[in-house]
Amino acid sequence: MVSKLDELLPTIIDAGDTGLSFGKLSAKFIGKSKAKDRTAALREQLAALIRDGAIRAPLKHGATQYYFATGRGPSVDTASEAIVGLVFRSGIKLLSKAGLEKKVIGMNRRFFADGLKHATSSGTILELSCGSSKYYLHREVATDYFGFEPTASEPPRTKPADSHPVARSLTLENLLPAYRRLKAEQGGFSAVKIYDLMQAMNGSKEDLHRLLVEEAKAGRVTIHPTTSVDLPKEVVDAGIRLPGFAEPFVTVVVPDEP
Amino acid sequence: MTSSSLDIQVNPFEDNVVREPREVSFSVSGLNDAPLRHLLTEFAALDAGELPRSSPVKAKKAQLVMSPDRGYGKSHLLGRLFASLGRRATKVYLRPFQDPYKAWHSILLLTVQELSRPEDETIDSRTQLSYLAVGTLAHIVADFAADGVQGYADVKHAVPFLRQLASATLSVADTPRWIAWLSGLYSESTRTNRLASLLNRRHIDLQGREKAWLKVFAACAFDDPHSDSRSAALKWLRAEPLEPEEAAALRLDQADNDGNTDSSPQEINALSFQRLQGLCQLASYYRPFVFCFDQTEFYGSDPALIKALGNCIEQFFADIPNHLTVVTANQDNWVTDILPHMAAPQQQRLSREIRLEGIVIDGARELITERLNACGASTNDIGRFFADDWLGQVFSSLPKLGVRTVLMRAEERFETLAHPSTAPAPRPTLDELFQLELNGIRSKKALQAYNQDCLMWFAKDVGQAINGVSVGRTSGRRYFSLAWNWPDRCVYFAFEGGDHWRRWKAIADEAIALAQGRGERRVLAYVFRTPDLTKVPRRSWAAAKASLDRATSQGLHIVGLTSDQVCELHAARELYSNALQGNIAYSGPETLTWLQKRFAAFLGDIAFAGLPVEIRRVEAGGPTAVEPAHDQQGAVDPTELDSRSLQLVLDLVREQRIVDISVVLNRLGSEMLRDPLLRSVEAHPNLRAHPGPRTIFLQWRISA
Repeated sequence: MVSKLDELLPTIIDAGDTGLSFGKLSAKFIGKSKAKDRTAALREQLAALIRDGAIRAPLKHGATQYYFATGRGPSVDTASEAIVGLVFRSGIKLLSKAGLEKKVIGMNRRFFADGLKHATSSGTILELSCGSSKYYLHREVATDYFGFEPTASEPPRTKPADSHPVARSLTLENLLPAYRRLKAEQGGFSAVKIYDLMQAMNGSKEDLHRLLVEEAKAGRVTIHPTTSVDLPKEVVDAGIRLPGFAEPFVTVVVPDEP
Repeated sequence: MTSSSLDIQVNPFEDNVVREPREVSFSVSGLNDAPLRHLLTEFAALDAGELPRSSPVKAKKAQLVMSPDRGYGKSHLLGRLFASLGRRATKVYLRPFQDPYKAWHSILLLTVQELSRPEDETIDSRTQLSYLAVGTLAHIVADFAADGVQGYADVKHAVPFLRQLASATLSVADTPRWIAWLSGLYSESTRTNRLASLLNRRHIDLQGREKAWLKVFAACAFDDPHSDSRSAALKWLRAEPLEPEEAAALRLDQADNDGNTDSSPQEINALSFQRLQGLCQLASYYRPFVFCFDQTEFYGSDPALIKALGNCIEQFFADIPNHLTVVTANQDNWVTDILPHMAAPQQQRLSREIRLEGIVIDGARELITERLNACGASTNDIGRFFADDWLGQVFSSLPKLGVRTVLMRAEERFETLAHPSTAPAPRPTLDELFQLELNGIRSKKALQAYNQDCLMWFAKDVGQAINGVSVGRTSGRRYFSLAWNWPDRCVYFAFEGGDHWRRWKAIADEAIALAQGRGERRVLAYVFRTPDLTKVPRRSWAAAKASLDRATSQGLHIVGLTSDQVCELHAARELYSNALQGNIAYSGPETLTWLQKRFAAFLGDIAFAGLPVEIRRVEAGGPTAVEPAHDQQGAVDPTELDSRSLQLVLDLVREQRIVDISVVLNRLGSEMLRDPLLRSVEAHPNLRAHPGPRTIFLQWRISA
């Protein structure tokens, strides 16, 4: 049975980070008939979802176009994570930039350059130069090797926002699509967990907290503790702790969102 | 600041939970105005245009008021809604029901309790039920007169007067005359029957009980409030069976006495639903109802209750006109605990969320100033309270905060200023919080009425603590709906507020059957009664008495709880509800465990048939004391104080501004006058009770 196009967004959301190719979507929503009007309707619906910010513009991988819900699928952050993992596993056997790029496969490859910048600027990996070549070392590997003692005053692994290119790029506008999706997923209730947003954005907790506190101060969002249910530890850990408040703020509301 | 006016015994910020929406007397300008406006707009469709309605107004979706966390003002919003609606609506505040098979019965009982309350605070105000009844009966006669009656040319002149009588706008001088005339009209069955046919004209269908409704309303409208006929009318409205003489007092046909004496929970529930539907249909003649489901966190622990709640919301929408339903919730409880167990069609009967907002700094200043003014703080002290930009620091991180957060910070600030040399108080113990609830319940008579849901909760949730017990709902039983089971014994509970001998005979027969069907296992069976209910068994009972005696010999106990015991059980439930809502710094399970220990002696007595039943009194850190099981023999009748005593109280409280109730009782010369004193305080515009963890303070208020 051919699915209704109303189910298009939930289907893409359900696909998560795997995404769905246009071929799979057309098989599910158009069926075998390949009728032109139905194909056009599907394309139109996809375009509308992209315009609304509910899904991302199609990502090409080879000859295939993939669709992802906003906040899902490959991104600078997922590429950065892949790079950090590769450098960490490589230990003291340094990987060159070219060697690293070859190892980053799949759709993360298109975000390699930005992902590498993100990983180095956050201080998670260290760029070493040898002649014209660049090599990469994970900070924990260096810490273990040289026996550095992390101290309480050690700066966070992410740098302050003013010198952080990704932090600067995290704005309320690019948070909203993920917020809307999460809000829709929980039945339209507006208090969305900061933990869920963090997962959806695939970004650092500190950047997200900084943004939310700034936006809360500006009155564009409100943040709230939740004291009447036992929340999972990860949700509490992802909350914002503010001086003078015993409970972490674990949810966010964007009041002007319909 | 210790020598200032802030050095008083009651911290004005201690009270940060709304226990009763009607307590709400102050609102911060602008705070949560949008949600209130939304609710008022939704309500407006129900009472637009002239009365009576040409047909009942179909209900809208239930309005879902959502709070991002506890302490954003859900119950406060209900209080504001109630105050804003005033006489435009009959407002029913629904605490959670406990029996999924008798949810409508619970809702009906709370509705009739609400209708039995006075219309307003004025002395000798009639009940809301009386106004509803007069409104209905007068409009029906006006409809009749408007058609004209052959031989009575001037009958149409009566119509405007009748319409005014119905809407309570007729002059005080004219009202008694018209009431008397109307009463005479409805005293004749033939005329009542004829008038009943006019209900159809307004598309009101009472399923063949039209005449019965008018007769019952006539008793509510015209008979003495303490008469047998009024009492019988209330029973009929509560879907209870009537004794033959009660049915006769109402002139009801036998078929109209439809509350079966021996009914299953489903039958009681169905009849309760019909009664509620009837009341709401007849609201076409008077004013709509507003039903508010608050404390919904309570349902979260039991999928059967959530399903029943969903069914109620759906049926309210589909089958009950002339009303607005409001549901309040904390979002996480609602999304995590409730929605997953609620069927999709039921969820569709709820509106989009109506979101509550936090308070901003200006609102916080307004609220704090009002609280300080109310406790008599001087301008100078208020200035000192806000000194050093204290409030600015509270709001330095965020521009909007939950109201309770602000009140808690103000409470700390007050303590620091009033008692600078005292170390900050540790968080209140559960014992203190329980005492606070207990004193709160004692201060409000309406909170002490029979509540089967509270009793059932106590037996079901608190009872779980008894060693080795398995607590569960029974199946196939009409009355004994809950049981404590051990391998060698069973304890059953029935919850019955009525007093029909046949119903009680049926209860006794079921208790006997339970005892005989259990073989070697020892069986006990309990029915709890509260002081506001009629005593059973009555002296006049014969057949039922024989069955009850036999049942008693086989383990049935009808336990008459004292008013103190009722207060303690109700306080226990309020405390637990507060924990579930996040209103106190203890979790639900933690609080329940504490309550189970607190009531261990009482539970033990029930489990092992120790009579008289005892509840440990909550004396902080002190030994337990035993309360008599039966209502105080020779105790002071808990009505209000006489005028001489009241004057003594007024003089004392006016002079001292705020005073411990024990000082007042000492002046009155008897501790036994506590309840009458509290009833007088409730009724007097210049007195206010402040329940605290150790005592109740009485405060002098300057009323307008």
